[in-house]
Order: sequence, then structure tokens, then C-alpha cells
Amino acid sequence: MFILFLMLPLGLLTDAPAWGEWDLSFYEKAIGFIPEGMKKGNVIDPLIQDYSLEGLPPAVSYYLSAFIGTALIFLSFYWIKIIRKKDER
Amino acid sequence: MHIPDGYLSPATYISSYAAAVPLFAYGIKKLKESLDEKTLPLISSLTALSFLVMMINIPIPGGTSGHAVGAAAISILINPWIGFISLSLVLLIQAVIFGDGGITAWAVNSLSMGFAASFTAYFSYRFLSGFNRGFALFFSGWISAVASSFVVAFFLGIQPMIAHAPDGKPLFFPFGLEITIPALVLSHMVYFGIVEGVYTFVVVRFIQKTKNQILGEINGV
Repeated sequence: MFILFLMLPLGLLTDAPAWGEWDLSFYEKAIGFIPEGMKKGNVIDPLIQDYSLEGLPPAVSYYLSAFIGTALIFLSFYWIKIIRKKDER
Repeated sequence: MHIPDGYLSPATYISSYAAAVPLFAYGIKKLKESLDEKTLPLISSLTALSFLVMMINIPIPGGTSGHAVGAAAISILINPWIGFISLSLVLLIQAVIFGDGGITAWAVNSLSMGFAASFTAYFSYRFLSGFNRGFALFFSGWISAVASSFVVAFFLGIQPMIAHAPDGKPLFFPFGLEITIPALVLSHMVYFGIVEGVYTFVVVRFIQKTKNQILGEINGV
């Protein structure tokens, strides 16, 4: 896990979006228009859009994002375990 | 493979939620049953690992990129239901906090990268591990990536058919199955499936070596 953590900035090397995760302008170029339903975009505003925090170097905010995400995962499982204990009582 | 908001028509995401909710309920029940002092560290570490590995985007020729998912490893080491729920949790966090994958598309993303990946990996490992365990691990990782890419390609590809304006213009994702299937499934067969296979092999081998005593006690679907 530690090694993987060190490798994280490698994820920043590529600017190429995953297949199908293009910016909307891509559709304009490819098919001449942006499909109506796609214009609305995100239904909520994510806290940390695209793993980047404004004003911080990309590598730093990527690490911060990794840390926050990992912490949330551990917390969620811990929380499920606590619920389970309560159920048992 | 994270489908963003706005790509899927309401008919698609509402029915995908309807299909996913009972699966979530059963999976969470399974997870609660198996989560205790011994399994908590392993399950949460594997899930965190899965989150981290998804952050490492690998560029491939053709101007696109992708990443491993890590569902197969959880599914083989613990249980496919837990692989599914763990991945769904990761996807939820990615969607809500980081805007990676949509909220409306969460059920479809969970079904592809969670459910399809976990169960194909689990069964192919069960089937193949009798012949050669190393190959079975690699192949299970590979097939899990290919299977989830197929599910994603299917859901994206049916959009132009089921949702278009009266003049025929697609309202949501504009490319049909004839484009999504080759583009997504082939790239996962040739590139990301291999990455997922290697990841599954390395992670499962490593954990089995170090945590044999724990695994003995929590196996069994």
C-alpha cells in the first residue's frame, strides 16, 4: 500500500481522459452538437472536483485527495462495524 | 469507466437503481456478518487499495487512459458480495467527494465495476484455481475488467436507441453499441485487463502469504 501511495503522482502524468469521460467540447467536435441531457452535467458540486484543490500544486492535492478518500473508507467500515455491534446487543 | 452524470437517460438510471438496491441490501447484510476485529483491517485496507489504484491512470495509445479497479482481489480473498459492496463504497466516495463518476450513474457504475467484476472474478477463480492458481488469479483479474467494460459499453451504447429527440438527435450519450463495445471492451482486453490481472495476482499472493491465518476463518460465500 505504501508503494502504491508513492506511485500516486503517476496518475497525473496523463492528461488523456478515460474513454467516454471527455469534456463536453469533445462532443461538439465529434458529432457537431452537445446532447441536450449532457449539458446539465453534475447533479451536485463535488467537494474536490477532479482531485484538485485550487491554489495547491496538483501533486499535493492529489495526495490530499488520496488521504481523504482512504480515511473515509476506513471510517465507513469502522462505522458499519459499530452498527453491527449495536445490532448484536 | 466511471460514467458521469448526464450520460444516462433517466429510464436507464432509475431502472439500474431498482436493480441495484436489493443487491446492495443483501451485500451490506453479508458485509455486516463478516466484519469483526479480524476482518476489518483486511477488508478496509483492500478497499482503500482499490481506491488508490483507481487514481493511477495509465495512458494507452489512442489518446485515452484507464486504470485497474481491484474488485477481483477483494472478491477472491474475501467474498464477491463484499467485493461488490466495497467497490460501491469507493464509487460513492469518488462520486460525492471528487466528482469522479456521477450520482445518477452510481448504480450502473457499481453494477459494472463492483458486481460484474466481483462475480466474474470469483467464479472464474473457483473454476480455474484447480488447474493453476497463478494463472487463475491473473485470468480472474483480466476477465473482471473485461466484464465490467462490457457492462459499461452496454449501458452507454443503448442510450442513443432509447433516448433521442423527435428529430433523432441523441439526448444523452451519443454513440451506439457498435462504437462503445469495440472501444471499451477491446481496450480492456488488450490493456487494462492485463493491468488488473497483474494487480490481482500480486495483491492476492501477497495477502495470502502474510494473512493465511485470517483468511481461513472468513472464507465461504
